[in-house]
Amino acid sequence: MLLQLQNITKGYGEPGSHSYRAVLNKLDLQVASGEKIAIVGPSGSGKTTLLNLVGALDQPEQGDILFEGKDITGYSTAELATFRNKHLGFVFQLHHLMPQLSLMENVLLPLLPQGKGISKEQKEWAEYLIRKVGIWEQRDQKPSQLSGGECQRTAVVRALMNKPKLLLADEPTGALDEENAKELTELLVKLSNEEGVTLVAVTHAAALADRMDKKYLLKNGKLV
Amino acid sequence: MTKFGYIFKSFCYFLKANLLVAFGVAISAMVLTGSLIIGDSVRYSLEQSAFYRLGETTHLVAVTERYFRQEMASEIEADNPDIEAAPVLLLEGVAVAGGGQQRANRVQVVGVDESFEKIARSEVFSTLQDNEIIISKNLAERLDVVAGDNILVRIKKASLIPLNAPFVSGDEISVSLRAVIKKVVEREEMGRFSLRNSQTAPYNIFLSIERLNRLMEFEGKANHLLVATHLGTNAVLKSVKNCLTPADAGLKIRTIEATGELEISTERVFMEPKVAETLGKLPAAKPLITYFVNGIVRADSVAGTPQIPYSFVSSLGDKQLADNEIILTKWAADDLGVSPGDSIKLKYFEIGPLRKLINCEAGFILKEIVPMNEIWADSTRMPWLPGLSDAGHCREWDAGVPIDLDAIRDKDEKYWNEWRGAPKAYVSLNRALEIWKNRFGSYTAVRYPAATFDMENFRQVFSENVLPSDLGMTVEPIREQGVSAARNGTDFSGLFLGLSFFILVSAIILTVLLFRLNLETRSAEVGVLAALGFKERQVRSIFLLEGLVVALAGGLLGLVFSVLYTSAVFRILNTLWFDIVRTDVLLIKIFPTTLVAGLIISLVVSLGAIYVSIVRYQRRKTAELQKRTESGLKKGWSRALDVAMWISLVVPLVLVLLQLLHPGALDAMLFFLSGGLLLLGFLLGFRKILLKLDRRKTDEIRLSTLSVLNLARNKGRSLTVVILFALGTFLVISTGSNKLDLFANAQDKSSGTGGFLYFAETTMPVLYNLNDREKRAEEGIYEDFTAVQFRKVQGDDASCLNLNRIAQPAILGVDPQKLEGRFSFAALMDGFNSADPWLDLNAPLDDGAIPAIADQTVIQWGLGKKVGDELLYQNEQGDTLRLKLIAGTTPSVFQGYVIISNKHFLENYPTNSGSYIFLIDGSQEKESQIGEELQSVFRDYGWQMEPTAKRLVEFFSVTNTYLSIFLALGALGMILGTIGLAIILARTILERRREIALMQAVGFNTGQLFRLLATEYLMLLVAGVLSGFVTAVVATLPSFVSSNTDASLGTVAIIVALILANGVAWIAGLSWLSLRKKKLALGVREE
Repeated sequence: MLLQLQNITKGYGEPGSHSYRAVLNKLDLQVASGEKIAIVGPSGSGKTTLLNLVGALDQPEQGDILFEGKDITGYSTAELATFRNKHLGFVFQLHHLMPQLSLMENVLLPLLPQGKGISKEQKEWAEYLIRKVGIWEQRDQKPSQLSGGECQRTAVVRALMNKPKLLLADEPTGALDEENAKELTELLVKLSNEEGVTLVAVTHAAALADRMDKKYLLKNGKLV
Repeated sequence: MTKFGYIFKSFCYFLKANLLVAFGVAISAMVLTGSLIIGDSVRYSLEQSAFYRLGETTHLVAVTERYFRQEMASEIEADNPDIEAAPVLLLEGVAVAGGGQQRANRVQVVGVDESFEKIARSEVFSTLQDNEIIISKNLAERLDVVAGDNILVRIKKASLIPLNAPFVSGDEISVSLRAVIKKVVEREEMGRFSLRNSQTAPYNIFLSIERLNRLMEFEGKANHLLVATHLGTNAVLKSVKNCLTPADAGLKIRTIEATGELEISTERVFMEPKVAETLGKLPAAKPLITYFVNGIVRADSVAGTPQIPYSFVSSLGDKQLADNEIILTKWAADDLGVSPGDSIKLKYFEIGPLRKLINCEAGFILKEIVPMNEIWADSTRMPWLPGLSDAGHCREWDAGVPIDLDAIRDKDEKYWNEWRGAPKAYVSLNRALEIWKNRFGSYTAVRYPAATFDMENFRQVFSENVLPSDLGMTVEPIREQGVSAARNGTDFSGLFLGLSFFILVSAIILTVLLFRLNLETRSAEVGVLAALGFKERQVRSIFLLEGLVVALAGGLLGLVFSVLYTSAVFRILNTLWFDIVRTDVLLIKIFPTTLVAGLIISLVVSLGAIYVSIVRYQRRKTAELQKRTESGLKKGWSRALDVAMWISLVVPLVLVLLQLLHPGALDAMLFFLSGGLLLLGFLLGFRKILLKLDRRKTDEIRLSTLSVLNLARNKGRSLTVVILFALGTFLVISTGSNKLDLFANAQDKSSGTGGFLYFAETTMPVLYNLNDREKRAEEGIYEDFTAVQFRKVQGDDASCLNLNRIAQPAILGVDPQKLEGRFSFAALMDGFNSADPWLDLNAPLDDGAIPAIADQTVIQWGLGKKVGDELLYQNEQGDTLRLKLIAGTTPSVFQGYVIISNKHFLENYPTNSGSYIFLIDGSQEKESQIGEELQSVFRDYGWQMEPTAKRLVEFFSVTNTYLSIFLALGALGMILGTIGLAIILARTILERRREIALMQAVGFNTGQLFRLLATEYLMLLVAGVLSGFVTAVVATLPSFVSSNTDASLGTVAIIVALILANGVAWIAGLSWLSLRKKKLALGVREE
């Protein structure tokens, strides 16, 4: 099992205070390697909170998160950063590309934390992915010169740059028009299949959710 | 793609925002580096000033109130070829021009010869003719004269004999010289010549040393040797010692033909102990004292019995007489009609301080009557007393004591004509020493058998026994001392860093604020980097390195600004702020190391500020950053801040109420603390209000409350703006309110004036007691006043007017009782709990040191010491004099001096004559009459008098100028703060352009939106300024209610109004600009 969430509880506000609001309540989830799952649910149901926990961007109040059988909740912030860099890829609703960098540079950005410089293989891998998603011609352009769809595809390539085992997508098509959303959905599924990457997507979009292997509804802090 | 590439691209992409941060850094760098440059420049200027005043002089050989041979200079050069020396006769005088219209007191009159060239690097001094003088530029300006003009110089009459020594006439206090100005010299040609460590240039008059000697009735005398050498002080001292001769001690040798003796006497009348002791070591020495007595009478005399008036009486050694025996010459015995066995009485004056005459008598039994021959009627025994020895008749005597001319009989005139000052009586040497030895010395001569006297042996004994220091001669490495005094002087770097404190704080806050605004804009970037697996420290290092590039750019820009800032400050220091520097030698000196240091410090400060911003930012959770949300403080902290708020609000109110209800004086420090605490309370209170606004639950919304609610949108920013304005207003007002007006309680005896009317200083010493009624009548002084007179040993000015670090300030000697209950004390030595420290000045201390008092500001700043510390001097006998500072007065008219009792003063400086400093007390109604009379009577003494309050104000002008600088730089800081506000405002409006566009889209008109925006920021401005204003008024309440300061609510109101007007202008302007239609359309489209 690639990912296991056991008995996860998470809320907002001071636990025990009247302002505390539980979002996730003793939630369990198991994701097998290569699996593609969608998490759907109404706004405010805690989808993004769940994804932040899975992505080691936040810590649960209770429960364990096991990645390849290892509990990552006890990791230090530095260990978590390395973990994210090595094993996870993120795609957000807004592409969050660095406006100061070109498309290619944005794609190469995840290599920097490793502090080793960029190898020929890594460069070739980046070029391969860029060509694959069809934005090779725009590789030297800045995000401000790209369309929304191109930006989001760049963000997907950036997420795959370190060959992660788990790709996390938070409303990846939420900011795109119907056509671009459809294209991105196909791209994510295709890349996941071809590269063998496990995909966890939080989405409102039925088109995306329907293409996943499993679909969970987050309701009352639990996945059903 | 590398980390540095990323940083470079980020820097370029966010260039505009980064340049704003760089601007903040540039201001910090400007202030920091500028302050360091100012410090360096002042130090450099003081050093240059030392070089200007000393020329090539490296060492100074000096004596006080005595003189040595000019030839000593050439002898020293011959003794050691590595030494160059120039003799100088340095006196003080008064210069008058324009028929008395222009006058300069305390002028240095410098007698020089051609050897002065070696020191001055100018040949102009070598060609001075008898009637020519050279004057300094400042004197020419003061007297409004040019080369070729005539001026009158009244020079203090120098005397080889101490002025207050017994039987020395004190009538001739000055000598006049009318001379033509040959040249006016500037600083490059020794125009600033001075041997004192001060940046203030004295008035100088140079003339030929030969001419000055003649004016003083001297021959070849000097009192200073200016030495130029690369050798150390010991080498100079060695040469001085090698060249010291008996003539330099004022010793004269003559042969007494009648007695077959050789006599060594002194130009000083009485021999100082060391010289007397040395002469006593020579074989067959016969010391003698010859004293001028008022009368020789029969012990059983009654009114009408004959008495011999005004006679010389000498001593006999070798136990020829018992201590109660006397020998009379036949002339005297016949005159008195006495025979051996009769009792004889001598009447004489003992000369006390300030020529106080004490009538004394001594009784003897007549042992023998001796014949009137050359052995006994020996007129050579009379010491040389100008005014007495050279008088043609008895009636011409000017003996420095009252002479009753009616008592002088014809037979006395005849005696004078025939026998001059031949002694009429002899007493034993022991008895003579007992009754006539005085602080000026003992023997008047020592005689030796001429046949056996060995001149070579005399010189050798003198050389072996008498050191230069025994004659009060000092050898000082004056150049080294001058440089050290300059380098250790007032630290303008620290001073300006302190004075620029608020600009610095504003600049740092601005830097932090702008950097945080950038971070806020780029918060998503921080979050994404974290999501991509960048470690915290990696993200931090990326932003820090980018910050470093920004700070470096700002720092380098700041270095350029710092030079401009220094130039501006120096320009103002030379004009408006002249009071704190008092020199026209202010040169900007930029050391590369200072620039580097300034840059590094600026970078460290800026990067520190940036680092704190990043760390605080990173504490926020990555997920929050990515979503641009913010969570509040932890509960514990929040509660602690609430408690602190209530304490800060309640405690000061209680303290202020207690103080106001207390009948005594208001404690300024307590009020300042209360004000400061209240400011903290207000700021914490404002934070609390923002939090409440944020949590407010309401079912309705109104336009009027929308602005208030908006304040809580970004609590950090709102609070920063309020803090900036509150702190700025607080500092500016509290500083401005502390400017002192010292005229108000000047009559208070405990004030810095001591309750005295006038402080006066003379160039020539006043040799008598100004309170003596008879003397007053003699001088034509009729106004009713009392004077406290101070003796003075020259030293450096240690007041705040001197920027150099002083080691030996001038010493004043006073009768401590005269100051009882006067002035106040700021510090007492540990274990010293005296009610009135003045009265302890006479008491000796257990460790042998002499108690001394000085102004506390002098002790602390001028001398860099504290009470309990010691000052070291060399006294007249060459011994080390240790003055222990037992107390420090509150700021007073004594700034610059250290005060000891007359008793200790005269023990250490016995030949110091007269008073130079006076405190005048009298009725306030008669103040002007007293002042005018004293000015008139003592005009020729170079009498310089000013009301004590005015003198105090002059010292406080330094403090007030510092406050002005603080105020001006504080105002500059406020402007900077306003710029910060404007930037925040512009940035916030930019961030809110979509919101504004939306509001307009739903029907808000421009006027409503303008009011909304302007009100929001005006509330921050007013909250900040009001908090600062109210708390500053509380902090400085004692100043407002005191008549001692010129703090007024009017001035403060103007300052507040200016701050508000400036803020309002920025807010209104920027709000209006932001509401232009073009921008709104853009906002909507983007939305």
